[in-house]
Amino acid sequence: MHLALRIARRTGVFVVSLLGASLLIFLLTNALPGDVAQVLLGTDATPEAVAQLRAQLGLDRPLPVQYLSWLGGILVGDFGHSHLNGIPVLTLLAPRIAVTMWLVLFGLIGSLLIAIPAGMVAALKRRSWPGFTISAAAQLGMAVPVFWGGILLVLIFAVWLHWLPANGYVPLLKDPGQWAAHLVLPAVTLALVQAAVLIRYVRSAFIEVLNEDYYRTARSIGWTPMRALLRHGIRNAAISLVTVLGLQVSTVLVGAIVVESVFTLPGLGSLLLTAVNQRDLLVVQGTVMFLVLAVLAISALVDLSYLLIDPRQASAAEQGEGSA
Amino acid sequence: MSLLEVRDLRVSFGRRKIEAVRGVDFEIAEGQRLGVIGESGSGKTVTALALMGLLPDNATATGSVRLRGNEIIGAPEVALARLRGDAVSMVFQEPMTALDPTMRVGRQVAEVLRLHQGAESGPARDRVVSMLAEVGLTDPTRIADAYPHQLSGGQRQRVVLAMALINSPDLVVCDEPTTALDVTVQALVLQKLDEVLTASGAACLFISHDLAVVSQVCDRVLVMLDGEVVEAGTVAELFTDATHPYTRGLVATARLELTRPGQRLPTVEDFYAPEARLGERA
Repeated sequence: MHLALRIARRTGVFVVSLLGASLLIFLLTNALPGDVAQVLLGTDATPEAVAQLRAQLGLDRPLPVQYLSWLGGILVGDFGHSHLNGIPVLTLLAPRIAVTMWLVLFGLIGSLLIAIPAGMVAALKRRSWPGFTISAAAQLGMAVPVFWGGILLVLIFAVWLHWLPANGYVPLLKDPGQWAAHLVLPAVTLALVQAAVLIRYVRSAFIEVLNEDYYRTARSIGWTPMRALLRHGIRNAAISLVTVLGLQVSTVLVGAIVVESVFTLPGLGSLLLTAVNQRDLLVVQGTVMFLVLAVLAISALVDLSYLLIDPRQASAAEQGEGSA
Repeated sequence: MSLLEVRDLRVSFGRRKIEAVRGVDFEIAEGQRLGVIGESGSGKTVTALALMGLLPDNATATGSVRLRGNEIIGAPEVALARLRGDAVSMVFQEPMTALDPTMRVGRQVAEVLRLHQGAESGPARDRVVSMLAEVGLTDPTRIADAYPHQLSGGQRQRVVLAMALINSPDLVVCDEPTTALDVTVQALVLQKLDEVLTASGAACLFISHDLAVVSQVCDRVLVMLDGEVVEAGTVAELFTDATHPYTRGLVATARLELTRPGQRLPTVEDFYAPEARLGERA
């Protein structure tokens, strides 16, 4: 009952944020200097020809009208057509979403697989060399730009060792083996860079647990420090880590776009960059809108995941005491 | 051989080695209950943590603590973990934070059995429910399925008590177990502690700043002041022939029935002034 209310409230926030984002995206893309009609016709075109093409594409209409027609289209699942080639924006997006989604998914999972154990050790051994080493490595990792890290991995694993392909992409259904092989280096690059950021949060979340009374209680009944942390620390640390992870999702997406261009993956990143260069505004708007949708959906899920992780919040939601 | 032998225990903190416990000696025989009394900062909790092997990282302990002949000071973590919860267990001061907020309390109590007896979850659960009933919790089945935040302070402290006692340890260390509770709940928890200790025959080290509370549970008492034991004896001896002025102050504050109506209530400072102590140290 109250749980339903909380979900409804969260959905409301989600819809309002999405509307606000759509307006902002529209205004910003339209503030871009340059004009797709000019791009299409080339620099030699007469102003008359450009004006005629603008009218043909509907670009001469007042901005509010353009915005509403775009928004209305989105509501019925029509993101418009590319000005350049007339292909529906969704048709352009779909295969690229898959690429970026795999990259982000494996990048996130990989970063957690690195950051959680490393952060736990860094917390537990924070006064001795394993802790110092991990913290120093994380600091160093944060200072490394994504593209440089990616190029380094390509040099080592593709150019020298010939273990993995240097770039490109093969769809999953076409050849799963090649698909995986092409994703390893990009995903590892993204994971390493993200892990460097996450380790610090994981470390401080677990240091907090180490100072908690329940951790001492766990030790007093016979758990060794590491097992006490695994048993009673992970879920408690997760409460604060999930928040960080929700905030990090947008950084991961930005990172994914950079990684895509290093490894020439045909994902949303390269689509977005090409569309911006060609002033193909509907494609830009559609892509950014999708990215915003993904980030907002994930942060809504993060918010609801507290109910699964923290029994105190779950009871508060059941009793209607909680605030969203 | 005594169950617990503490010899010249010294604990210091930090790089500057500030001593919190300065050469403490005592023993506890099987089934004996020893009270440790003293004000905050007198080193009682640090002593308790030292004999659990649970001192913080920045503490250094020297001297000897032997539990059933096993040396605790300097012992490897794995050996200590095996003793904790099995030979010795601990009840902490703060029931509100002593339990993991994300785990049902029944599972937390059952962990002790699983850790040390390899108990299966079915029989462990039955033991947990009967132990929760033993510490005086009504409706133990419901309590076992509750999360800590769904219980009152008194209920939580009895859950902690159940955790400390379910594996029949030889020694239970209680660090101000009733200080955070209100007076009526305090009496109930003390009574239950007394009952379960009697039933299991476990020895107990009971830390408190309240002599009245200690005298309800313990046979013998140590008085600690500034990291040292200043007086030791049976409860009766302490009440009749305390030698240290600090102890006489404690006795006076614990025996308010001797104060005539209208008379100012005694304080420890009437017998042992902190100003004098400051002078002593300088």
